[in-house]
Amino acid sequence: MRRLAAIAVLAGALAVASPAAALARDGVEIGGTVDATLGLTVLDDGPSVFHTEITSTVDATRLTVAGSPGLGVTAAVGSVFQPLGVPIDPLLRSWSGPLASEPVTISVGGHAKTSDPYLLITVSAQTP
Amino acid sequence: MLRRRTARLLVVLAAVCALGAVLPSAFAAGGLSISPAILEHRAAVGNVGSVVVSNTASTSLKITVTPRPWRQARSGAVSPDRSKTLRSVVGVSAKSFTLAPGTKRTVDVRLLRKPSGGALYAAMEVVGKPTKKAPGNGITAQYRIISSLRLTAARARHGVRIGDARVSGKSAVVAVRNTGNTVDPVAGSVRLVGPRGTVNRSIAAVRVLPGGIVDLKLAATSALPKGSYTATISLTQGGAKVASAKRTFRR
Repeated sequence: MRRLAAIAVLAGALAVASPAAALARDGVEIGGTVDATLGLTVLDDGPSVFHTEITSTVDATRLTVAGSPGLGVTAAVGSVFQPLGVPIDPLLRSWSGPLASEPVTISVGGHAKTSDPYLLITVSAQTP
Repeated sequence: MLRRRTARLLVVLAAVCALGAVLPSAFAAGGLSISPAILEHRAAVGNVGSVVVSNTASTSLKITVTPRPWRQARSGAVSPDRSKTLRSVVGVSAKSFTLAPGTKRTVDVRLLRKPSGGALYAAMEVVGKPTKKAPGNGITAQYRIISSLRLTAARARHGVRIGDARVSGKSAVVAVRNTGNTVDPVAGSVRLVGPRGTVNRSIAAVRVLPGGIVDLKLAATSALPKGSYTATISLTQGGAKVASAKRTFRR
């Protein structure tokens, strides 16, 4: 039984590592280019928070938010809440360098004053 | 007995590991991504490339793709001008479509007419709106990804004009206008002669839109005692020196 368990563990580990292991075994050199990517993932939302992850391979990335017209709430990454609905979407955070699933929590302050409220979470390149 | 339980537990763990490797993240929340984040091509009328829009969310997304002009702040940061589109200049094969969960779609981008100045630098705005309202707090998260479209001129022309130097906020800055037709970074060096002698500093690279004006940071004011300063500025772009000037300002 112990032997069976050990084999099963090994099989599980191989399932995780098999592509890399196969390439290493064959002595294949891996190369090439990967297109730059921008990605936004919303992991979950609660009464007043949105847990997100940002992936970016550009030089500089910025996170801004906008709200539905008349939403009447504020938003923040950290403790400085900024009003939505202003002419320029508030900058919540910026980064230089690539991001790999960077976790960011957006907090929302106040209560939505519209019937169909939305928060437009924006990830963009910071340079033209 | 204990060994048997341990062995069973190990079997279960192994199975979970194996399943984790094989199954896609069926229960993971998701979102929107686009690739490439920077689409660069010669500004010739016709197809200039394509972007792949992927929906990794667990719900269908109503996608809109809109090319827009950039607005550039004096800091150099850009944001798309949401009051304007560039649809008369840049066409996309699909302006609006619904993307099912876990699927992607390639959107071709075409230059419809030659841009004035020979080059066009624009934002490609991709918005994803869930077709179902999210449960929870009642506020639905919508996704917006803004990538960069760089349609370059057949012949790159570099050039900047150095404006006034001044103190802005916590920095001494100099205004610089891009008189060329590229967004190649503008960088350089400055020699500051002030009340306590001379300091030499490098000027961090900033991309400036053609015709745009950006403030380049010379030094933090915290490093500059009060008084009058003379800044000898030298700027490079595209690997060549493009401008130099002497400016004075007071701290």
